[in-house]
Amino acid sequence: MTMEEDREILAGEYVLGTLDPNERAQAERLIATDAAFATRVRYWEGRLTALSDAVEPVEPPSALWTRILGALPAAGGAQIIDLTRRLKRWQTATYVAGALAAALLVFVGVREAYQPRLPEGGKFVAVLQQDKVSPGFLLTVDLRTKEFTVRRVGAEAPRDRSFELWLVHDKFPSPRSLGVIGDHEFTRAALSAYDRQIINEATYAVSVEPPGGSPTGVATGPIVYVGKLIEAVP
Amino acid sequence: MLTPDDLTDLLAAAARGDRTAFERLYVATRAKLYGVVLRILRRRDLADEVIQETYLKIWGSAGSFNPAVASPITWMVTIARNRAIDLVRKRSEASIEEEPQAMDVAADSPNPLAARELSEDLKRLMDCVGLLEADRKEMVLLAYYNGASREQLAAKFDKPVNTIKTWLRRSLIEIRECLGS
Repeated sequence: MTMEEDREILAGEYVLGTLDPNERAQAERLIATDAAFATRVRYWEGRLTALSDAVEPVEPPSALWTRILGALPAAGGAQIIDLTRRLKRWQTATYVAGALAAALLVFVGVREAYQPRLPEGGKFVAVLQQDKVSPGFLLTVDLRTKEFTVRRVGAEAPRDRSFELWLVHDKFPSPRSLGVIGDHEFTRAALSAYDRQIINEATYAVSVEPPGGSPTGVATGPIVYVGKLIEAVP
Repeated sequence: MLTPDDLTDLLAAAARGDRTAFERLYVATRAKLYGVVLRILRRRDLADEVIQETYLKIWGSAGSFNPAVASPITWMVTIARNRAIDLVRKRSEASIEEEPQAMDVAADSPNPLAARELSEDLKRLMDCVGLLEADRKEMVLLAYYNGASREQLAAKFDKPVNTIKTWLRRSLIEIRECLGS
């Protein structure tokens, strides 16, 4: 059994629905961080969903529409759309190829379905990468103290530019800056302004900004690296 | 009957905040999605809850739907089914004893494949699923249609969970080899 085959079966069983909750969370983490895995999930969704063509349609109660309408966000989901546009704009501006674009789109698609269990503490790590073979930074977060360390791995900022780290979460209308990184091999800081759930669920992105970081507090340059946290040692 | 292109247009309009388009989308798809989640959840109150969450999610994420990656109905069914599976797994990981009727309902309700005319995609898939041994074919269908967990399948087929894992693995590999990747 190769790892590739294990992944294929994980993707297939995820779509079929036979995974237990921990395995489902693992699969959802992979969907968000591994474009190749996300593609395999899309493959199985595309094939197995044909089975639903045979399910007898059942009319839901008529009161359900009223409930749904009443629960729609007042702004018509404007915040989420805004975030999506931002990510898309970043994508088109960026020189990063399809893998990142897919990862971002998949992230937008799954982030609400993804309800990870929330550990009290422990070390979490994210590989911030352009694609599977090009890691730029390693982000390590201690969920107990909320301190994080960013280690520069393969990233080299263009001349006269800085890397800036952002926390992206649908609770916020725009990405939150976590500061300039990469000037040295290690950058240390804290996420004390954010609760553990947000830290755990967020996507971490690195953009290229003017020296010293974005002057406006809003990301201006292309996203070059992106990743999500996974537990380093369960 | 709305075409996939119609549904894609409605999703795009919903992403711009168009509630009329969203209602048309709901009317066109609600019975299909409700049917899918009701088979898994077997309780209307839970199906109501999941369908409400599903359409809120569709409203919020319509802007990220990409017709190059999935058909609109596949995207929507996937959201609904994932929510239903998450709920059914969380409610109980060993519910056979607590809900003895669970698998009976599955056994009672006729195999949906027998009753309906098959779509082209479904024919292609069933040509491959049909090549599996009879109990493995039944296992795959119980998992998809009824949201059966490995433990429930183990009880149903009177096999250890590890055997079910192996069956699932082999079945998926055979289906993929038959369909082509």
